[in-house]
Amino acid sequence: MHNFVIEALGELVPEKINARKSRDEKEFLLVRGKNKKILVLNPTAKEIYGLCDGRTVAEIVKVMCSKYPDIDRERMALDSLKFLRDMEASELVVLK
Amino acid sequence: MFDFQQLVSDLREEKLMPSVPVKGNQVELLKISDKIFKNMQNRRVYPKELGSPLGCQLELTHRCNLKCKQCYNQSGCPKPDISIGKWLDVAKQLVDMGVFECVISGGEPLLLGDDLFKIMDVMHDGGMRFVLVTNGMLMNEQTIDKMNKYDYYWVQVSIDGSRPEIHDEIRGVKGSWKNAVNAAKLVSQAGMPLVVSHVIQKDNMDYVVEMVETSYILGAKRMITGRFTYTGRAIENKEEIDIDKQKIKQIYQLLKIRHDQYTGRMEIITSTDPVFYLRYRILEPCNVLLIRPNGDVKLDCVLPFKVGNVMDESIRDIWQFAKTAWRNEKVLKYVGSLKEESDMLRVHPRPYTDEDVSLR
Repeated sequence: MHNFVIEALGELVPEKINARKSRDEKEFLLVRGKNKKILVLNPTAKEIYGLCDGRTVAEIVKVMCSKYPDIDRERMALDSLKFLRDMEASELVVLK
Repeated sequence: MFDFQQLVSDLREEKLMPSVPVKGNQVELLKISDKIFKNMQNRRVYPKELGSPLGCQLELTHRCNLKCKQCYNQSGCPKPDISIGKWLDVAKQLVDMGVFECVISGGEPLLLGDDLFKIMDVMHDGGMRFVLVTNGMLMNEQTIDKMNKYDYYWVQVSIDGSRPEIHDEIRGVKGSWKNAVNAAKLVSQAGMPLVVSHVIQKDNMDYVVEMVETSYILGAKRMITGRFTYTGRAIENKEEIDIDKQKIKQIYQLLKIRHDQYTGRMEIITSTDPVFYLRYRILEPCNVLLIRPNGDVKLDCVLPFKVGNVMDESIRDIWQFAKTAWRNEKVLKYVGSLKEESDMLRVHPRPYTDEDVSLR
Protein backbone atom coordinates (compact mmCIF):
# COMPACT_ATOMS: atom_id res chain seq x y z
CA MET A 1 0.00 0.00 0.00
CA HIS A 2 1.36 3.40 -0.91
CA ASN A 3 2.22 5.57 2.05
CA PHE A 4 0.39 8.59 0.63
CA VAL A 5 -2.94 6.77 0.88
CA ILE A 6 -2.32 5.93 4.51
CA GLU A 7 -1.14 9.46 5.29
CA ALA A 8 -4.14 11.00 3.51
CA LEU A 9 -6.54 8.88 5.56
CA GLY A 10 -4.72 9.64 8.83
CA GLU A 11 -6.80 12.78 9.41
CA LEU A 12 -10.12 10.88 9.36
CA VAL A 13 -11.94 10.59 12.66
CA PRO A 14 -13.69 7.27 13.29
CA GLU A 15 -16.90 7.81 15.20
CA LYS A 16 -18.78 5.01 16.91
CA ILE A 17 -22.41 4.75 15.82
CA ASN A 18 -25.37 2.45 16.40
CA ALA A 19 -23.81 0.34 19.19
CA ARG A 20 -27.04 -0.72 20.84
CA LYS A 21 -25.47 -3.16 23.23
CA SER A 22 -22.00 -4.43 24.05
CA ARG A 23 -20.28 -6.45 26.70
CA ASP A 24 -16.83 -7.71 27.56
CA GLU A 25 -16.30 -11.41 27.21
CA LYS A 26 -12.88 -12.00 28.76
CA GLU A 27 -10.42 -10.44 26.32
CA PHE A 28 -13.08 -10.10 23.59
CA LEU A 29 -15.77 -7.50 23.07
CA LEU A 30 -19.21 -8.41 21.78
CA VAL A 31 -21.10 -5.62 20.01
CA ARG A 32 -24.53 -5.50 18.44
CA GLY A 33 -25.56 -2.64 16.20
CA LYS A 34 -28.75 -1.89 14.28
CA ASN A 35 -29.07 -5.35 12.79
CA LYS A 36 -29.19 -8.76 14.42
CA LYS A 37 -25.53 -9.48 13.89
CA ILE A 38 -23.37 -9.69 17.03
CA LEU A 39 -19.76 -8.88 16.22
CA VAL A 40 -16.97 -10.49 18.19
CA LEU A 41 -13.98 -8.18 18.37
CA ASN A 42 -10.67 -9.81 19.17
CA PRO A 43 -8.35 -8.11 21.68
CA THR A 44 -6.61 -5.88 19.10
CA ALA A 45 -9.86 -4.95 17.40
CA LYS A 46 -11.34 -4.20 20.81
CA GLU A 47 -8.44 -1.86 21.56
CA ILE A 48 -8.82 0.03 18.29
CA TYR A 49 -12.59 0.27 18.73
CA GLY A 50 -12.01 1.57 22.25
CA LEU A 51 -9.76 4.29 20.86
CA CYS A 52 -12.57 5.62 18.65
CA ASP A 53 -13.28 8.44 21.05
CA GLY A 54 -12.66 11.49 18.88
CA ARG A 55 -9.07 10.63 17.97
CA THR A 56 -7.92 10.64 14.36
CA VAL A 57 -6.81 7.48 12.58
CA ALA A 58 -3.21 8.71 12.82
CA GLU A 59 -3.53 9.17 16.57
CA ILE A 60 -5.02 5.71 17.00
CA VAL A 61 -2.21 4.18 14.95
CA LYS A 62 0.34 6.03 17.07
CA VAL A 63 -1.12 4.59 20.29
CA MET A 64 -1.22 1.09 18.80
CA CYS A 65 2.37 1.36 17.57
CA SER A 66 3.60 2.40 20.98
CA LYS A 67 1.78 -0.59 22.45
CA TYR A 68 3.11 -3.03 19.86
CA PRO A 69 6.58 -1.70 18.96
CA ASP A 70 7.51 -4.88 17.08
CA ILE A 71 4.89 -4.23 14.42
CA ASP A 72 5.88 -2.05 11.51
CA ARG A 73 3.98 1.27 11.50
CA GLU A 74 2.76 0.89 7.93
CA ARG A 75 1.40 -2.58 8.69
CA MET A 76 -0.33 -1.29 11.80
CA ALA A 77 -1.87 1.65 9.89
CA LEU A 78 -3.13 -0.55 7.08
CA ASP A 79 -4.59 -3.18 9.41
CA SER A 80 -6.23 -0.50 11.55
CA LEU A 81 -7.77 1.16 8.50
CA LYS A 82 -9.05 -2.15 7.17
CA PHE A 83 -10.60 -2.94 10.53
CA LEU A 84 -12.22 0.49 10.71
CA ARG A 85 -13.63 0.09 7.18
CA ASP A 86 -14.98 -3.32 8.23
CA MET A 87 -16.67 -1.66 11.20
CA GLU A 88 -18.02 0.98 8.83
CA ALA A 89 -19.46 -1.76 6.60
CA SER A 90 -21.11 -3.19 9.73
CA GLU A 91 -22.54 0.28 10.41
CA LEU A 92 -20.84 0.51 13.79
CA VAL A 93 -18.31 3.20 12.86
CA VAL A 94 -18.28 6.06 10.42
CA LEU A 95 -15.03 7.66 9.25
CA LYS A 96 -15.52 11.40 8.97
CA MET B 1 -45.62 -4.25 -8.47
CA PHE B 2 -42.79 -5.54 -10.59
CA ASP B 3 -39.36 -4.06 -9.96
CA PHE B 4 -37.98 -3.95 -13.47
CA GLN B 5 -34.84 -2.03 -12.55
CA GLN B 6 -33.96 -4.63 -9.95
CA LEU B 7 -34.42 -7.39 -12.49
CA VAL B 8 -32.13 -5.67 -14.97
CA SER B 9 -29.58 -4.99 -12.28
CA ASP B 10 -29.67 -8.63 -11.19
CA LEU B 11 -29.34 -9.83 -14.76
CA ARG B 12 -26.45 -7.53 -15.50
CA GLU B 13 -24.41 -7.62 -12.41
CA GLU B 14 -24.69 -10.84 -10.57
CA LYS B 15 -27.20 -13.51 -11.17
CA LEU B 16 -27.28 -14.14 -14.88
CA MET B 17 -24.65 -11.99 -16.48
CA PRO B 18 -21.20 -12.55 -15.04
CA SER B 19 -18.64 -10.26 -16.61
CA VAL B 20 -16.95 -12.69 -18.93
CA PRO B 21 -19.23 -15.67 -19.41
CA VAL B 22 -17.87 -18.28 -21.75
CA LYS B 23 -19.44 -18.26 -25.20
CA GLY B 24 -21.79 -21.18 -24.59
CA ASN B 25 -23.11 -19.53 -21.43
CA GLN B 26 -23.53 -16.23 -23.23
CA VAL B 27 -25.94 -17.75 -25.72
CA GLU B 28 -27.84 -19.43 -22.91
CA LEU B 29 -28.00 -16.22 -20.89
CA LEU B 30 -29.23 -14.23 -23.86
CA LYS B 31 -31.95 -16.81 -24.50
CA ILE B 32 -33.05 -16.59 -20.86
CA SER B 33 -33.06 -12.79 -20.94
CA ASP B 34 -35.07 -12.80 -24.17
CA LYS B 35 -37.60 -15.15 -22.61
CA ILE B 36 -37.91 -13.00 -19.49
CA PHE B 37 -38.47 -9.81 -21.48
CA LYS B 38 -40.99 -11.42 -23.85
CA ASN B 39 -42.80 -13.06 -20.98
CA MET B 40 -43.03 -9.77 -19.08
CA GLN B 41 -44.29 -7.97 -22.14
CA ASN B 42 -46.81 -10.65 -23.08
CA ARG B 43 -48.16 -10.66 -19.54
CA ARG B 44 -48.32 -6.87 -19.75
CA VAL B 45 -46.11 -6.55 -16.71
CA TYR B 46 -43.84 -4.21 -18.63
CA PRO B 47 -44.43 -2.16 -21.79
CA LYS B 48 -42.83 -3.12 -25.10
CA GLU B 49 -41.80 0.49 -25.58
CA LEU B 50 -41.33 3.32 -23.13
CA GLY B 51 -42.91 6.75 -23.60
CA SER B 52 -39.65 8.32 -22.52
CA PRO B 53 -36.29 7.05 -21.27
CA LEU B 54 -35.75 5.93 -17.69
CA GLY B 55 -32.22 7.28 -17.65
CA CYS B 56 -29.76 9.35 -19.59
CA GLN B 57 -26.05 10.00 -19.78
CA LEU B 58 -24.86 13.54 -20.39
CA GLU B 59 -21.30 13.86 -21.67
CA LEU B 60 -21.20 17.52 -20.76
CA THR B 61 -17.91 18.47 -22.37
CA HIS B 62 -15.19 17.24 -24.69
CA ARG B 63 -12.67 19.00 -22.48
CA CYS B 64 -10.48 17.02 -20.14
CA ASN B 65 -7.51 17.82 -17.91
CA LEU B 66 -6.01 14.34 -18.39
CA LYS B 67 -5.07 12.31 -21.44
CA CYS B 68 -5.68 8.69 -20.53
CA LYS B 69 -4.23 6.05 -22.80
CA GLN B 70 -7.43 3.99 -22.73
CA CYS B 71 -10.01 6.80 -22.94
CA TYR B 72 -13.02 5.20 -24.61
CA ASN B 73 -14.38 8.44 -26.01
CA GLN B 74 -11.33 10.53 -26.95
CA SER B 75 -11.91 13.08 -24.19
CA GLY B 76 -9.77 16.18 -24.57
CA CYS B 77 -10.23 16.51 -28.32
CA PRO B 78 -10.59 20.15 -29.44
CA LYS B 79 -14.21 19.94 -30.60
CA PRO B 80 -16.83 22.54 -29.62
CA ASP B 81 -19.39 21.83 -26.90
CA ILE B 82 -22.98 23.00 -26.93
CA SER B 83 -23.62 26.01 -24.68
CA ILE B 84 -24.49 25.86 -20.99
CA GLY B 85 -27.81 27.46 -21.91
CA LYS B 86 -28.55 24.51 -24.17
CA TRP B 87 -27.56 22.01 -21.46
CA LEU B 88 -29.95 23.78 -19.08
CA ASP B 89 -32.66 23.38 -21.71
CA VAL B 90 -31.74 19.69 -22.16
CA ALA B 91 -31.96 19.20 -18.39
CA LYS B 92 -35.41 20.79 -18.33
CA GLN B 93 -36.60 18.65 -21.22
CA LEU B 94 -35.42 15.50 -19.43
CA VAL B 95 -37.26 16.52 -16.28
CA ASP B 96 -40.40 17.28 -18.29
CA MET B 97 -40.16 13.82 -19.88
CA GLY B 98 -40.08 12.19 -16.45
CA VAL B 99 -36.57 10.77 -16.74
CA PHE B 100 -35.48 9.27 -13.41
CA GLU B 101 -31.71 9.14 -13.45
CA CYS B 102 -28.71 10.78 -15.06
CA VAL B 103 -25.07 9.82 -15.47
CA ILE B 104 -22.95 12.97 -15.59
CA SER B 105 -19.67 12.49 -17.42
CA GLY B 106 -17.47 14.10 -20.05
CA GLY B 107 -14.59 14.75 -20.63
CA GLU B 108 -14.23 15.94 -17.10
CA PRO B 109 -17.53 17.39 -15.89
CA LEU B 110 -16.00 19.39 -13.02
CA LEU B 111 -14.29 21.57 -15.64
CA LEU B 112 -17.69 23.24 -16.05
CA GLY B 113 -17.28 24.80 -12.60
CA ASP B 114 -20.49 26.20 -11.12
CA ASP B 115 -22.28 25.69 -14.44
CA LEU B 116 -22.23 21.95 -13.67
CA PHE B 117 -24.23 22.55 -10.51
CA LYS B 118 -26.69 24.83 -12.35
CA ILE B 119 -27.42 21.95 -14.74
CA MET B 120 -27.63 19.43 -11.90
CA ASP B 121 -29.94 21.78 -9.97
CA VAL B 122 -32.55 21.64 -12.73
CA MET B 123 -32.55 17.83 -12.71
CA HIS B 124 -32.30 17.62 -8.91
CA ASP B 125 -35.35 19.88 -8.54
CA GLY B 126 -37.09 17.54 -10.98
CA GLY B 127 -36.41 14.57 -8.68
CA MET B 128 -33.62 12.98 -10.69
CA ARG B 129 -30.84 10.90 -9.14
CA PHE B 130 -27.23 10.98 -10.31
CA VAL B 131 -24.10 9.05 -11.05
CA LEU B 132 -21.21 11.50 -11.30
CA VAL B 133 -18.07 10.32 -13.07
CA THR B 134 -14.91 12.32 -12.38
CA ASN B 135 -11.14 12.01 -12.48
CA GLY B 136 -10.94 13.95 -9.20
CA MET B 137 -8.46 16.53 -10.46
CA LEU B 138 -10.60 19.51 -9.42
CA MET B 139 -12.18 18.05 -6.32
CA ASN B 140 -11.67 19.97 -3.11
CA GLU B 141 -13.65 20.67 0.04
CA GLN B 142 -15.60 23.52 -1.58
CA THR B 143 -16.57 21.31 -4.52
CA ILE B 144 -17.62 18.53 -2.15
CA ASP B 145 -19.85 20.95 -0.24
CA LYS B 146 -21.61 21.87 -3.48
CA MET B 147 -21.89 18.26 -4.63
CA ASN B 148 -23.25 16.96 -1.37
CA LYS B 149 -26.80 18.27 -1.73
CA TYR B 150 -27.68 15.95 -4.63
CA ASP B 151 -29.08 12.45 -4.54
CA TYR B 152 -26.57 9.95 -5.92
CA TYR B 153 -26.51 6.33 -6.90
CA TRP B 154 -22.81 6.90 -6.62
CA VAL B 155 -19.89 9.25 -7.25
CA GLN B 156 -17.30 7.53 -9.38
CA VAL B 157 -13.63 8.44 -9.15
CA SER B 158 -11.30 6.88 -11.70
CA ILE B 159 -8.07 5.53 -10.26
CA ASP B 160 -5.95 3.52 -12.65
CA GLY B 161 -3.18 2.48 -10.31
CA SER B 162 -2.45 1.70 -6.69
CA ARG B 163 0.74 3.72 -7.01
CA PRO B 164 1.34 7.24 -8.39
CA GLU B 165 3.81 6.22 -11.07
CA ILE B 166 1.31 3.79 -12.63
CA HIS B 167 -1.74 6.07 -12.61
CA ASP B 168 0.19 9.18 -13.72
CA GLU B 169 1.77 7.28 -16.61
CA ILE B 170 -1.61 5.96 -17.79
CA ARG B 171 -3.43 9.26 -17.31
CA GLY B 172 -0.69 11.42 -18.79
CA VAL B 173 -0.37 14.00 -16.00
CA LYS B 174 2.07 13.91 -13.11
CA GLY B 175 0.34 14.42 -9.78
CA SER B 176 -3.03 13.19 -11.01
CA TRP B 177 -2.92 10.10 -8.76
CA LYS B 178 -2.66 12.19 -5.60
CA ASN B 179 -5.64 14.26 -6.73
CA ALA B 180 -7.68 11.15 -7.47
CA VAL B 181 -6.85 9.56 -4.10
CA ASN B 182 -7.72 12.81 -2.29
CA ALA B 183 -10.97 13.07 -4.24
CA ALA B 184 -11.96 9.52 -3.30
CA LYS B 185 -11.18 10.24 0.33
CA LEU B 186 -13.24 13.46 0.29
CA VAL B 187 -16.23 11.74 -1.33
CA SER B 188 -16.36 8.92 1.21
CA GLN B 189 -15.56 11.28 4.08
CA ALA B 190 -18.58 13.40 3.11
CA GLY B 191 -20.77 10.30 3.26
CA MET B 192 -21.43 10.13 -0.48
CA PRO B 193 -21.44 6.63 -2.00
CA LEU B 194 -17.97 6.22 -3.49
CA VAL B 195 -17.27 3.96 -6.43
CA VAL B 196 -13.71 3.52 -7.67
CA SER B 197 -13.37 2.65 -11.33
CA HIS B 198 -10.17 1.02 -12.51
CA VAL B 199 -9.37 0.14 -16.11
CA ILE B 200 -7.04 -2.81 -16.41
CA GLN B 201 -4.24 -2.52 -18.97
CA LYS B 202 -0.59 -3.43 -19.40
CA ASP B 203 0.82 -0.76 -17.03
CA ASN B 204 -1.34 -1.78 -14.05
CA MET B 205 -2.13 -5.44 -14.70
CA ASP B 206 0.20 -6.71 -11.97
CA TYR B 207 -1.22 -4.43 -9.28
CA VAL B 208 -4.94 -5.15 -9.45
CA VAL B 209 -5.08 -6.87 -6.06
CA GLU B 210 -3.31 -3.93 -4.43
CA MET B 211 -5.84 -1.66 -6.15
CA VAL B 212 -8.73 -3.59 -4.59
CA GLU B 213 -7.23 -3.03 -1.15
CA THR B 214 -6.60 0.66 -1.88
CA SER B 215 -10.21 1.15 -3.01
CA TYR B 216 -11.46 -0.49 0.14
CA ILE B 217 -9.49 1.58 2.61
CA LEU B 218 -10.44 4.72 0.70
CA GLY B 219 -14.01 3.86 1.63
CA ALA B 220 -15.36 2.64 -1.73
CA LYS B 221 -18.70 0.86 -1.57
CA ARG B 222 -18.02 -0.62 -4.96
CA MET B 223 -15.10 -1.10 -7.33
CA ILE B 224 -15.87 -1.32 -11.02
CA THR B 225 -13.04 -2.81 -12.99
CA GLY B 226 -12.27 -4.60 -16.19
CA ARG B 227 -10.06 -4.50 -19.21
CA PHE B 228 -10.31 -1.40 -21.45
CA THR B 229 -12.68 -1.48 -24.43
CA TYR B 230 -11.52 -1.24 -28.03
CA THR B 231 -12.96 2.21 -28.70
CA GLY B 232 -11.62 5.76 -28.91
CA ARG B 233 -8.07 6.36 -27.80
CA ALA B 234 -7.67 2.75 -26.68
CA ILE B 235 -7.58 1.78 -30.37
CA GLU B 236 -4.74 4.25 -31.07
CA ASN B 237 -2.78 2.96 -28.08
CA LYS B 238 -3.64 -0.70 -28.47
CA GLU B 239 -0.07 -1.96 -28.78
CA GLU B 240 0.98 -0.05 -25.69
CA ILE B 241 -1.89 -1.07 -23.40
CA ASP B 242 -3.14 -4.45 -24.59
CA ILE B 243 -3.01 -7.58 -22.44
CA ASP B 244 -3.08 -11.14 -23.73
CA LYS B 245 -6.14 -13.30 -23.12
CA GLN B 246 -4.39 -15.66 -20.73
CA LYS B 247 -3.27 -12.83 -18.47
CA ILE B 248 -6.70 -11.21 -18.38
CA LYS B 249 -8.20 -14.57 -17.47
CA GLN B 250 -5.76 -14.87 -14.55
CA ILE B 251 -6.65 -11.35 -13.39
CA TYR B 252 -10.38 -12.11 -13.51
CA GLN B 253 -9.77 -15.25 -11.47
CA LEU B 254 -7.97 -13.17 -8.84
CA LEU B 255 -10.82 -10.68 -8.88
CA LYS B 256 -13.34 -13.47 -8.38
CA ILE B 257 -11.49 -14.51 -5.20
CA ARG B 258 -11.41 -10.90 -3.98
CA HIS B 259 -15.08 -10.49 -4.90
CA ASP B 260 -15.93 -13.34 -2.56
CA GLN B 261 -13.61 -12.09 0.19
CA TYR B 262 -15.11 -8.60 0.13
CA THR B 263 -18.76 -9.67 -0.04
CA GLY B 264 -20.85 -7.56 2.31
CA ARG B 265 -18.11 -4.96 2.61
CA MET B 266 -17.32 -3.72 -0.92
CA GLU B 267 -18.82 -4.89 -4.20
CA ILE B 268 -16.33 -5.78 -6.90
CA ILE B 269 -17.96 -5.65 -10.30
CA THR B 270 -16.19 -6.50 -13.52
CA SER B 271 -17.26 -4.75 -16.69
CA THR B 272 -19.22 -6.72 -19.24
CA ASP B 273 -17.84 -8.06 -22.51
CA PRO B 274 -19.06 -5.34 -24.95
CA VAL B 275 -20.23 -7.81 -27.62
CA PHE B 276 -22.34 -9.66 -25.09
CA TYR B 277 -23.58 -6.32 -23.71
CA LEU B 278 -24.68 -5.14 -27.16
CA ARG B 279 -26.58 -8.36 -27.82
CA TYR B 280 -28.30 -8.02 -24.50
CA ARG B 281 -29.27 -4.41 -25.17
CA ILE B 282 -31.08 -5.46 -28.35
CA LEU B 283 -33.36 -7.67 -26.27
CA GLU B 284 -34.09 -5.07 -23.64
CA PRO B 285 -36.68 -2.34 -24.32
CA CYS B 286 -34.72 0.85 -25.08
CA ASN B 287 -34.61 2.85 -21.84
CA VAL B 288 -31.66 5.25 -21.94
CA LEU B 289 -30.19 7.96 -24.15
CA LEU B 290 -26.70 9.37 -24.27
CA ILE B 291 -26.13 12.99 -25.22
CA ARG B 292 -22.68 13.92 -26.47
CA PRO B 293 -20.95 17.27 -25.87
CA ASN B 294 -21.91 18.45 -29.39
CA GLY B 295 -25.56 17.61 -28.79
CA ASP B 296 -25.58 14.36 -30.73
CA VAL B 297 -27.95 11.84 -29.21
CA LYS B 298 -26.88 8.20 -29.14
CA LEU B 299 -28.32 4.96 -27.86
CA ASP B 300 -25.27 4.20 -25.73
CA CYS B 301 -21.52 4.68 -25.50
CA VAL B 302 -20.48 1.65 -27.54
CA LEU B 303 -22.56 1.87 -30.71
CA PRO B 304 -21.24 4.31 -33.36
CA PHE B 305 -24.73 5.50 -34.32
CA LYS B 306 -26.57 8.73 -33.61
CA VAL B 307 -30.32 9.20 -33.56
CA GLY B 308 -30.53 13.00 -33.59
CA ASN B 309 -29.11 16.21 -32.18
CA VAL B 310 -30.59 18.37 -29.45
CA MET B 311 -29.85 21.50 -31.51
CA ASP B 312 -32.17 20.34 -34.28
CA GLU B 313 -35.19 18.97 -32.43
CA SER B 314 -36.63 18.21 -29.01
CA ILE B 315 -35.50 15.14 -27.07
CA ARG B 316 -39.12 14.01 -27.02
CA ASP B 317 -39.15 14.00 -30.85
CA ILE B 318 -35.79 12.19 -30.97
CA TRP B 319 -37.13 9.58 -28.57
CA GLN B 320 -40.01 8.76 -30.92
CA PHE B 321 -37.38 7.30 -33.22
CA ALA B 322 -34.85 6.19 -30.59
CA LYS B 323 -37.22 4.07 -28.51
CA THR B 324 -37.14 1.28 -31.05
CA ALA B 325 -33.76 2.03 -32.62
CA TRP B 326 -31.95 -0.87 -30.97
CA ARG B 327 -33.86 -3.03 -33.43
CA ASN B 328 -32.99 -0.82 -36.39
CA GLU B 329 -31.66 -2.85 -39.31
CA LYS B 330 -28.27 -1.07 -39.26
CA VAL B 331 -27.86 -1.74 -35.56
CA LEU B 332 -28.79 -5.39 -35.89
CA LYS B 333 -26.38 -5.81 -38.80
CA TYR B 334 -23.59 -4.03 -36.93
CA VAL B 335 -24.02 -6.00 -33.71
CA GLY B 336 -24.40 -9.22 -35.70
CA SER B 337 -21.04 -8.57 -37.37
CA LEU B 338 -19.28 -8.53 -34.00
CA LYS B 339 -18.47 -12.08 -33.02
CA GLU B 340 -15.85 -11.22 -30.43
CA GLU B 341 -14.44 -8.11 -28.84
CA SER B 342 -11.44 -7.84 -31.15
CA ASP B 343 -13.87 -7.43 -34.08
CA MET B 344 -14.41 -3.91 -32.76
CA LEU B 345 -10.98 -3.09 -34.17
CA ARG B 346 -11.99 -4.12 -37.69
CA VAL B 347 -15.61 -3.10 -37.95
CA HIS B 348 -16.72 0.14 -39.60
CA PRO B 349 -17.50 2.62 -38.16
CA ARG B 350 -15.45 2.09 -35.02
CA PRO B 351 -16.98 3.79 -31.96
CA TYR B 352 -15.34 7.09 -31.00
CA THR B 353 -12.74 6.60 -33.73
CA ASP B 354 -14.70 7.00 -36.99
CA GLU B 355 -17.54 9.48 -37.44
CA ASP B 356 -20.85 8.28 -36.00
CA VAL B 357 -23.44 7.33 -38.59
CA SER B 358 -27.00 8.65 -38.41
CA LEU B 359 -29.69 5.99 -38.16
CA ARG B 360 -32.29 8.33 -39.63
